[in-house]
Order: sequence, then C-alpha cells, then structure tokens
Amino acid sequence: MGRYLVQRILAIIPVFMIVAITVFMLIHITPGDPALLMAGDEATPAQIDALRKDLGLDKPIHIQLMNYFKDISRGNLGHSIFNNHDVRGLIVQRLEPTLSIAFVAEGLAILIGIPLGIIAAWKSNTLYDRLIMIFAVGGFAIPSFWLGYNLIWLFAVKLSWFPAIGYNPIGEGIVPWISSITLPCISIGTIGAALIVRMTRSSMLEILREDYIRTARAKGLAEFPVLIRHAFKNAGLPVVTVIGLGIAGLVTGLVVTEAVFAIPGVGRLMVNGVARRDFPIIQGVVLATTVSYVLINLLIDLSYGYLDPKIRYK
Amino acid sequence: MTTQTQSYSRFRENLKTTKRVLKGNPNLLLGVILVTFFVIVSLGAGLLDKANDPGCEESSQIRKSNAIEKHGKDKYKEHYAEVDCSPAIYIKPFIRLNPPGYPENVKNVPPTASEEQIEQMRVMEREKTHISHWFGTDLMGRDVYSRTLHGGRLSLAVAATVSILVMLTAALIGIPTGYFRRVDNIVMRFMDGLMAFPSFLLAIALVAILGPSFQNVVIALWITGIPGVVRIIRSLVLTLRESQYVEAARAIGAQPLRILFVHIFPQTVAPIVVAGTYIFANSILTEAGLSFLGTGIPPTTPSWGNQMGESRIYASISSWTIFFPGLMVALMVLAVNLVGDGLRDALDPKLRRRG
Repeated sequence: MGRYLVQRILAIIPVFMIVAITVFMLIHITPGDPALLMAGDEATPAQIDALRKDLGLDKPIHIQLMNYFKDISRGNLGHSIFNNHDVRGLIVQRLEPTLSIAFVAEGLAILIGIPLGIIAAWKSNTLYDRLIMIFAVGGFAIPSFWLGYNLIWLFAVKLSWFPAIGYNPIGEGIVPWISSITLPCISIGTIGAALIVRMTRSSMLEILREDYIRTARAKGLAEFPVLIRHAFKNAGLPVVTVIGLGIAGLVTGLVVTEAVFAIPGVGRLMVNGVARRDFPIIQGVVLATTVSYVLINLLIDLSYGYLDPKIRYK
Repeated sequence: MTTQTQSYSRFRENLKTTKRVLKGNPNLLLGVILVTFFVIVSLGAGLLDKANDPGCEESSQIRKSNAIEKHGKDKYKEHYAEVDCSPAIYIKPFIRLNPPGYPENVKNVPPTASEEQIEQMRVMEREKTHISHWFGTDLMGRDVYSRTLHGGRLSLAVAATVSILVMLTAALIGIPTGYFRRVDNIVMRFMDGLMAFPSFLLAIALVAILGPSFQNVVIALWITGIPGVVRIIRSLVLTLRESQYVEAARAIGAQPLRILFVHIFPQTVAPIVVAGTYIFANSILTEAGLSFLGTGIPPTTPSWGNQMGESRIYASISSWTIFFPGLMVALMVLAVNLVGDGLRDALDPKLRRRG
C-alpha cells in the first residue's frame, strides 16, 4: 500500500510541472506583445512599459518562468490588472458559492445517477431501462446553460417557486441558500447524473452476469441485498472513476451556469477576467482549478486501494 | 470492364453491410437520419429562410435615395425605415422581440413606399398569414428561425473542422507514440499534463488570449481535443504491436514505417472515427458554451452559441430566443452521440450492448 501511495503521488509531479508551464505559456502564445494586449487600446507607451515591468515581461523568458514557479510555489498568483486585487484573495472570496453548488450538484448527480443506473441494469431491456437510458443519453447532449434558462423560465418566471438569479450565502439561513442554489444544481448535476447512470448500468450489467450473483440468488437471498451488497459493491469502482472525471464537466457547468444565474463565484471571476483581458486572473483561475481537479482525481485513485484490495497488492 | 464490375459488386456488398448494420441498430439509424437532416438544413439555410427577400436590397436602395431626394440629406432618416437585407440579419425596424407565430414581416416593398404604407402592408400581412416567425424574433427584431438555420452552419463547420483536425493529428502523434517505447514516456507525460486541464477552462483561456474568432475557437478546441484521442490510439497500438501478425511482419524484416502504415494504421481507423464522433459532439457543445459567454464566434455571424449569448440579458422575458437554438444544439449533439454509440457497437462487436 505504501509503495502504491508513493508511486501515485510522485506521478503527479510532472503533471503539475506541465500544467504550470502551460499556464505560464498562455500569455506568451498571443500574437504580439502581451503587455500591449493587456493594457488596452487607450494606453500610453509609458503605461504599457510600466505594466511590462510590473509583470516582469521585460526579462528573458526563462527568468520569467523561474519567477513564475517561485511565485506559485509560495501560493502567489499575482495581481489583477484591472483593480490590482490579489488573485488568490479574489478566488478565496468567491469560493463559497462555487463550492456549495459544486458539492450539492455532484451529490445530486450521485444520488440520482447510481440508483437509476442500478435499476436500469436490474430491469435491463424493459420500459424502465429504456426511459432511464433516454434520460442518460439526453442529459448528455443538453447544454447546461440552456437547461438553466429553461428551468428559470418554468420554475422562476411561470411558477415562481425559486428565485431566478442570485445567490444567498449559507450564513443568511439554510432555506434561502437552498432555494438559491436549487436550479443551478439541477442544471449542472444533470450531465453528471447522465454520466453516472451510463457507467453504473454498464458495469452492473457485467457483474450481474457473474456466477456468484446466480449463487446468491439461488440460495434465496432477497433481490435488494443481491443488488447492493453483492453486485454494486463490485461494480462501484468504475463509477467512482467516472465521478472523478465528471468533475471536469462540473467545472464547465459552473463557469457557464454562474453566468446564467448571476452567481458571484469563481466561474464569474473567470468570465469577467476574460471580458477584461485580465490575464493574471485567467491564469490564476485555470491553475487553481486544474490543480484541485488533479488532486481530487489523485484522492480517487488512492481510494481504490481502500475500495479494491486487489489493487493494493499488484 | 472487369474492374468496373468488381467495384460495382464491392459497392453492392458495402451497401448490404450498411443496411444490415442500420437495421440491427435503430438508434444508429435515428442518429444518421437526424445528422443528415441537420446537414441538409444548414447547407440549404438560404433557401429555407423565409426572411430572405431577393429584391430587398435593390428596393431599399431606391427607397433611400428617394427619401434623400424628397427630404434632404439631414432629415431623410425620419422618413426612411432601414431594412437590413442580409439573409440571417433581416432587421425589421418596428417589430421587436416577438414571440413565435408573430405575423409576417412585409416583403417586396415597392421603392416608392412611404413609412405609413409599409406599416399598412405589415398590418395586411398580419391578417393574411398567421404562422410566420415560427421561432419569434429577437431583441433587434431579427427572425430567430432564420438565424437558427444559419447558426447551424457555423456550429457544424466548427465541429467538422475540429474533429477532422483532431483525428489526423491524434493519429499522427498516437500511432508512433504507442509503437516506439522511447517516445512514449515523453509524449504521454505531456499529454497527461494537457489532460489534467478541465478542457472547457483551457479552451476559454486560449480563446480569451488568442482573441474571439472562428479560427481561434477551432484552435482551442483542437488543442483540448487531442490528448484524449491520443491516449485511446496509443493504448490500442500498445496491444497491436504485441500481436502475432505484427511480430510476423517484423520477423520477415519489415521496416517500422511499413509496419505502422500497412499493418497498424488500418486497425486504428475504426476507433479513431468513433472517437472523432465524440469530438464532434463535444465541439458543438463547447463552441456553444464559448460563444454563449462571448468568448467564441463574434456575434456578427450567427452561431447557436452566440445567439443564446446575445439573448442572455432579456432571457426572462423572451424564452424563445434561447429555447430554439439550444434545442438545436441538444438535438444535434444527441444525434451525433447516437451515431457514435452505433458506430462503436457496429465496428467493435466486443463492446456491444455495454452502455
């Protein structure tokens, strides 16, 4: 187990290096001078020079890269060009809405996806299976922001059950918080649920064909424990992988859905940064999100050792 | 003569196989029909577009010069209603943001028509036709139906370009990577690094920095699409290079290039095409998301994404401006995914009926 752990952790070091280099290179792939681009059309040459000096763009590129590595290893993501705020501070400030939507959406996806997937595999090739698969295939194709707008139209404009836009911090009470994140969570969670349904179903179908399931049924075990304790326990591993990979979809959903529901989260920070060509913010958000995405998938990889003892001894 | 008969019988054979595959898989059939429908509709957008009025440009030119003659250069604007005649952006000056089914805009405006006469014609048209502007109009009075038709072109063009580019480059990178062990380690570390990014985020960042345009959207989707497909091809080649027939080829002294091209490449075509369909579907979704956020195709050319993006501000009062383009995106992606799943099942019987 110890060896496995060390191996997995060591394997992400080159990944982090490449991620950091790519994010650093982002501003250097621009055609032309990045400082000129950031300063905007109305900047004077002196302003552009000052900006160049401020961002260290006047130094040779390898020195810039070294400085960038030094900065990010200290957790310093630079300053916004637009209002000079610390990028890390800006991200931390906006973490609460983003994280609460992410967690609830993912939880919703798991709570809906796994049971539906199990039912689809259990009742495979029946009407239930067909209906669930229609949801799974359809949920995969729907753009989350489009679903968001339709939810707003139905539940906020027509029925007025939920507020159309905005976010209420959890500190102001649980009920307003939940009602403000319900629609965003449904619109983001659907795609994750669709993914989980497909994976659960296909992996359960394979397990349900195994001999030991027949044995369990033959000895008179009720259907529910057969499905959950015998089948799902073994079918769960690929589902866990898909949950990890689904976080990339979650990030996509968050960026666009925060724009739809006007939620002041990290995704909005990114979109605003893009609109203002505020490169340090773009770089900071991309880096922070990618690092957390990699770390979550590392944790999931490590949890295999716990979930499946066979991996430990490989 | 013989070659002709041969190729004909081969064609019949292929047709038979195609029929059998389609028959065995209703989902694939549905997907193929939907995709064909979308391609035809997008290519023929100009013909299907009711707002497209051939005489429009000429007549508005003459109307404008008449107005200038009559009222002078400074004041003519009060007496002249501007009509934009480009097919997808047919601006109707007075009718704005109307729900689906709102009466027709006037056509064949005579050059001498005054403002009141145009309004009168409009009223008459309303009484005559009840179903027009099927999808309503947007804030600038543009017909959502015609913009959606034209938007499909751009979305499909982006997706087609991206998926072809990704398939080619991923094959070029992936096949040698799987075959030559020494390259493998370096290339795959790099691909792992690129895979680590949530692809949408990297795509936004790339377009934001390169600047929003068709070309840059394609570049961003291309770069974010490559690593996943490379990984699929590479793992396939890893198993292929150990297979007996490749070993036999090596034993009789075939050069590596020959092995790659003649023996390994044909085996990878089917999985590459299947991966390509998923890239296609994903590109449509991502392009829609990018353009929706304003970091995609600039709004001068309609795409499904930027149509929805433009309607963001007033979405709560006009659901139709977002509903129809989004529905098209969802249907298109659904169709392409069905084709992808169907092809995967048809091409690889081992994977059949797994989900």
